[in-house]
Amino acid sequence: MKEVVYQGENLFLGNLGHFLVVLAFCTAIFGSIAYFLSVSRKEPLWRKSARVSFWIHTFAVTGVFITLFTIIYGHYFEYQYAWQHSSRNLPWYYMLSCFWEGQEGSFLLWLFWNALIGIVFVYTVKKWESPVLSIICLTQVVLSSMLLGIDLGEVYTIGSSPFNLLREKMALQAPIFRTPDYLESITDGRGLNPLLQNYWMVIHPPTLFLGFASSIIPFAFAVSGLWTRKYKEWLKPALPWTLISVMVLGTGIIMGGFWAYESLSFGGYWAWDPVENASLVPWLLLITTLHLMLIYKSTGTSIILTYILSIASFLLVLYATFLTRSGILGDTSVHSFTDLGLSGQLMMFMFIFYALPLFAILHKKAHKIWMNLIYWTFFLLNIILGIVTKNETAFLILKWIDIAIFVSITVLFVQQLYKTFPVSKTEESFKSRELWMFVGSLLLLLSAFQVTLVTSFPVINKLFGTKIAPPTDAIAYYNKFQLPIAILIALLVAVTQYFKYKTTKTSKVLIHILKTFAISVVLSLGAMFLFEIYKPAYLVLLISGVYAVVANFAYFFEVLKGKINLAGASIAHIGFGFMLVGILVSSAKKEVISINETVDFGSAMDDKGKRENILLLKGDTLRMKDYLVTYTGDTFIEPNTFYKVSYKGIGNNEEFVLEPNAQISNNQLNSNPDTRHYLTHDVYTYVSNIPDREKQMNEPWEEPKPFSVEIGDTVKCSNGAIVFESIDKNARPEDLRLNHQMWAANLKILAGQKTFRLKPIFAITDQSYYTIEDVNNEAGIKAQFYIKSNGQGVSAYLDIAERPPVRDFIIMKAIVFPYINFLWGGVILMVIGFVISIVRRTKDYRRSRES
Amino acid sequence: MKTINIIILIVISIVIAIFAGAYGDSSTYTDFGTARNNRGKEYHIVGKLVKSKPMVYNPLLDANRFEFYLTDSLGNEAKVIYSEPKPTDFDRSDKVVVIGKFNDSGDDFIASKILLKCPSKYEAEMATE
Repeated sequence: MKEVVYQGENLFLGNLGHFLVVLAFCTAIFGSIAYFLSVSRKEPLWRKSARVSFWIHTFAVTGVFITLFTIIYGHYFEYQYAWQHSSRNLPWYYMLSCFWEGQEGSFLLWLFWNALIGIVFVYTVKKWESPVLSIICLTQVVLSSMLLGIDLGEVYTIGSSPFNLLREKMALQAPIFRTPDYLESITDGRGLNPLLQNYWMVIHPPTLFLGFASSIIPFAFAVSGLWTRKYKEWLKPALPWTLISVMVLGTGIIMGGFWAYESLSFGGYWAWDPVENASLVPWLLLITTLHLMLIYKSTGTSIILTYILSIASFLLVLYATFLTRSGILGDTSVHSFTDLGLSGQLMMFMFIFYALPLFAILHKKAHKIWMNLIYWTFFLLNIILGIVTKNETAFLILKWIDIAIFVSITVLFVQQLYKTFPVSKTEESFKSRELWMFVGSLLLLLSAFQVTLVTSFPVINKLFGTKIAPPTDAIAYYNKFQLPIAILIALLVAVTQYFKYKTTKTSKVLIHILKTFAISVVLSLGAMFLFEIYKPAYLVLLISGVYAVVANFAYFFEVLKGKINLAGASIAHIGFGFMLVGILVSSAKKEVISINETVDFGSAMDDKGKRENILLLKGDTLRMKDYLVTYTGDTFIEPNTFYKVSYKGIGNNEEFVLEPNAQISNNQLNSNPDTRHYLTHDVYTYVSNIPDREKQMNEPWEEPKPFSVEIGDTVKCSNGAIVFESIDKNARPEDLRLNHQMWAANLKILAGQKTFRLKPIFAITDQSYYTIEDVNNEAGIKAQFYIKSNGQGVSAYLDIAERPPVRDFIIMKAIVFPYINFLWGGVILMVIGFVISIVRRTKDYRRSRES
Repeated sequence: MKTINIIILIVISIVIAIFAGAYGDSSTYTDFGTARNNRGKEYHIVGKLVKSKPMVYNPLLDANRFEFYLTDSLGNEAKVIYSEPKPTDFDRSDKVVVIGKFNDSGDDFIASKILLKCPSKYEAEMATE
């Protein structure tokens, strides 16, 4: 076969990108090994060369990042990534969203953040540099392998390269990609998913991935602590970083929620979707880790759980990555990635990191060697059987062996932990802060466990061949369990700080606790009437949420005397209380107002028929709860259609216009809501359907029915009443230059509140006659007029044909979310609290390093 | 160590409760036959759209009623009624997951939720080229 020389391609960028990925991969391997060796060998050369390697790695990763962005920015559509994810009309900031729309780009983001964290660590964590960076380098090895795109013969491709050429991917499907000048026919890319064309999508993914990336920190420190046998020293440097991790991941999650609320049409900020859950669980574990680390640091207790959680947080991030990117959630989630063929590699990712803590904790060299030998043999076996033989029985056996390995590693690790840290015999006092913090941590863990269990149903089905589906009403299901947990956690958040570590004088504490509780109950009663929340369970949550706010507020002023630099926890906890209240009120009292109460649809539907969408004809005004709502028309501003909906308050002067919009492609509506924000509530509106114009215009006409009429008669038909008002004897249309006698019927159509006019014509020529029909699509009526002689003389006839009226309308849904600002305000307070704590703990660490 | 033992006991019992709760509240992927025989219970049914039968959505009459026919994995066919507007990407989806239950007469499947599996933009394009 003759080699084709393709024209106009810029191959340099792709080659550069490829080279940099391979460079990043190799330097990460070298860095990991060199740092590993420098832990046990004291020669500074290892550490020095590892550092150099890591710097090169960081530059390589940054280089890959810039190269890929250049490809997108420069519209090099010969690259599949640019073609698939971007187009020419996008502004530069949405090109960033294109970057992380694809899996490869988001892996790259993760790599990039890890590299930056690593570089900061090189210069700040001193003696922890070698072990911690060795582990970070190892994650970089795995992550950069996801981007390699190297073929192992025919059987397997390692990673998925973002620098693949479009023609390589498409050559099999489309012959055009085999012609040398194919690029000239590719003028634009496929563009970015319209849902992602939103400013939140520019900043939400980087924040979320920084959160994911930073979860390596507690993991790396805990494993390093076990490895170097400095079991407690890692807490001080790890603490500020764990705080950062919790804050960033939490912010990333909430940004996603805010994006969903502002620009998605599922009607809320949280839907318990598996992909959302997959990011929530690591956050729950990280915040548990944080609290356990504080207990461990202050009292030396709950060591074992601290280690387990520090490690589990990162493992759960890996598990979440697997869930969202392997395609396994396909049937249960609306927005998971499709499989890129990376699921095997993603499993290996978990496999590699799952055993690290065990290898680190083992004391005896012989044990270590044997364990490693067994483990990696199975690892290779998995790879070989998974890739080379695609044998069903082999898989089945392997599956059970793998489960057995995972279980025994867990058991062994916990057993080793108990051996290393003997459980103390002292009784924990009920009057100690650590006991209640510990209980709170367990509650958080249980909450995380429930979410993980249900989110993992597809995995369980795959492993055990079951057919369990998620609960049909996910929200009710999660609420049932998470609500009591939230109540208990809020109570602990309110009470615990009044206790001191180890033991406390009870009398004073009791006064504080009771006093603030009394205030909270009084405030909650007021709030109950204000929010109109009377359901007992909600009321209890309301009281505990308010209690969390009040008690922490009181603590800040009475105990901390308003010292802001110590108040990080108090402020974050106040924020948490506000969040709870906001979540409670905005979801319990959220009200769908787009319900048409003027039409009785009968009981055609069963109890599930919620009829939450309303049809608004253009120009018509309907009542929705406390508003009169009119759809006034649409405007098209490339690429969106904006639908103007005016709201008028009943009995007040409130008046506003919302413009929910939609991007329409192939009759498919990508709807974006528009929201009117008030301090106390939001009015949220989106268009859920629009008329199918093409279908409406192609609707067939029914067989015309003839009516004999006299002037003043009314003909009743299903689309309206037709009044035959008069005959116009001189009705020749101006543009018709025929010298025929034309008579027209003046028809008035009364359809509902609307009036239409029709003027069908009957024309007489010298020899014969003909008719000119008149149509009104909006009325769905077509009329023909003619005059015929019968026995007695002449009489007039109308031929009326009907079809469904062509109407301009929107179907929309509107929801009022009351007091949602408590939620957003609470989030902001929480972030402020975290920042204060980070500053304080960093100072702590610096001081300890200097002394 | 008494306190910690009590706490551990409580935690274990909650974990069991979670398992039981998750199992009790979970639904099952099944077929129309099973769902018809258990009318009160909600199920997940993965099916294919019957393109030869009419899809009825007449917003001017009722904006919240959409009817279509679906065949499950065993080839059973049923009429599905959904009390929401027709999803606009419905025509292009090949696989549909309906969540709901049969009405009392066992004639219609009342869906409370629909998940659509569209061939992604990319695949659709490749198929037509």
